[in-house]
Amino acid sequence: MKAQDNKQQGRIDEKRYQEFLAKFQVDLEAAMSLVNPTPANIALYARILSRMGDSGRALAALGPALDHDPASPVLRVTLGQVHYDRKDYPAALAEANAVLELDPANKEALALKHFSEGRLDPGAAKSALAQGIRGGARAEQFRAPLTKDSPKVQALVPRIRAARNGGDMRTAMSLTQKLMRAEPASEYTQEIYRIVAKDYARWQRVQATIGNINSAKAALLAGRGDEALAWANNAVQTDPAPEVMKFAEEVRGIVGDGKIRETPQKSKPSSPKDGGIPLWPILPISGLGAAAFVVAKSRKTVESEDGFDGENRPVYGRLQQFVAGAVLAGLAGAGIYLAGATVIPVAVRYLAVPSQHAIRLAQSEAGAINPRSAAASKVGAQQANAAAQEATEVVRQVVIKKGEILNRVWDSRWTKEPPGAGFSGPTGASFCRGNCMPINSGSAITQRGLNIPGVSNNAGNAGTFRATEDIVVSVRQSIGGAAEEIVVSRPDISKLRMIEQASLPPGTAK
Amino acid sequence: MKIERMTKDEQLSMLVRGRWWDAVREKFDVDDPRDIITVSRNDLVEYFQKNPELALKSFEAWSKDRGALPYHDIGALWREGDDYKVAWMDHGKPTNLLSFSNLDDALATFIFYQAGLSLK
Repeated sequence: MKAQDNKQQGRIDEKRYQEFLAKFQVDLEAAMSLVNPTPANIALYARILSRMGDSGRALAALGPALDHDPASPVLRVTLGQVHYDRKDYPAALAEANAVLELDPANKEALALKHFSEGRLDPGAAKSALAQGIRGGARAEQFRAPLTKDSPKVQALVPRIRAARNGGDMRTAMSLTQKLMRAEPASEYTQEIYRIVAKDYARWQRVQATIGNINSAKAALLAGRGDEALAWANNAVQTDPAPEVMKFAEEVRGIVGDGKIRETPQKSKPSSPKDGGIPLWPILPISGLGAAAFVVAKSRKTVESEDGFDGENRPVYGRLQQFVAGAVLAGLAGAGIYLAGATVIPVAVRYLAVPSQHAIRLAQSEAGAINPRSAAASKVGAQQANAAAQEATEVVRQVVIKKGEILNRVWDSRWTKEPPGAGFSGPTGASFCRGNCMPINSGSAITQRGLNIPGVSNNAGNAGTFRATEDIVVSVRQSIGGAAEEIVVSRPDISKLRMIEQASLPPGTAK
Repeated sequence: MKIERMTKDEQLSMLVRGRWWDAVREKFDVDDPRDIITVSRNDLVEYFQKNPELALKSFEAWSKDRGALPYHDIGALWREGDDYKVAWMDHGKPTNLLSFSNLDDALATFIFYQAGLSLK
């Protein structure tokens, strides 16, 4: 009955929505697999990903291309646009200025500069790094690369700076390690390593604190008072900042003598009032998926009709058509939103640049994209906690593309104990996306939430796996940890092949 | 097409015993030990059908306390009424839950689940 009611009210459930989204992503990847990896095509692909809210993958797509061609204006502008989407306006402005130094008339860079400057308030222009990692202290800086530095250094250092300024410390650290491998004896790279590693350790502590706080909230909601208290105390140990201590005090107040006195009520995110997802916006998304599919299917036909032979220009033209479809579909979504939907039409996030106004308009309503803030403004702090918890359990579904790398850690005792002992092994379901081999077991345990009740994983072993075909996976904030976790469905585990196994040294996350 | 580097019976026996991953990796110098597995889930079902005592012992070993404790990121096998259940545990919650009316099917599926092998 509920499903029927939802349908009559023009709504679909979260699961169906995620299925549509996953389908769209598969179509996008299919379209991308048919085009040449030129800077223009990669830039456009990254732009679409970023507008979909997946700036991490957008940056990952741009990384190798920038390695190959660090001065490419289209790649640099796109990098700036991704920073803009992440609301890191200083970094966006820096990229725009870098392009304008070489090409003062570059229209995209001028537009990016204009919009980024418009977003900067001289009094509040702290980067995510300054706000989130350095606690407002002035960030320790390293110099920009000089012409005497090697091409590798000239390519990597701007990306490290951009990632660090954008608060993307995982990328910053990964690139810095790459830099160290390239030039381990250079004092310049050693200095960068020292600074970035220090920031990375701070960032890990911040993430661990966030993980502890989220776990405490989850335990409260589940009525497990003692566990909530333990998590809150962990948070204080990780970061004894005043606001964390205040949070722990509040938890103690709720829990009392180990018995919860006040049980927060769960919100119902599927209801229209509290952030359910209406059916209407999915129509443009389906349209986008269909557009991608049509582009992929019709490419050869169109090229032969046009007399092209598969070179870059016509392919880019197909992708531009794809985006044009996205713009139209997105505008339709915005219109529907403005006509009366009470929550964000997710399709608006697919809009290209000309529709920025519609996006801002949509975002200004009802807490907009972030379900946590939407809930906070509507159903009060306790229910916001519930909504946040639901949001962190299964955030979204994404496609792991064939050839992509995942990393996993497991318990070194798993082959030494009897079969029923229950230690996690190499064929488990939980992964980290990319080449994210942890530096030691302590780091993995903290980041991936392996020290909570019911988890038997000392992270003594780690493995790198490659996807042998496209796989749809779930992404969530790891429960009890800070890192994003990829959860692979059991039937798909056989589609991951291990390519490297290593023992992790013991150690702490600090 | 996988090359058969162990006999079918050796593979089946090894899968039932468990604890084979690292040994196979070292012995055959392969990146992914699953590469040497050429037997199917149906082969294992038949193997248990021929060795009913082994099936019971294996169930006893593998199903110990499963379903009752908040296990995470491991396979689980337990009996529920007349059915056998196989699942992958996620913070105490069963996922990808399958139900079987006979032990041989459940055991073979559980072992293939645990080994990360395709059920096909």
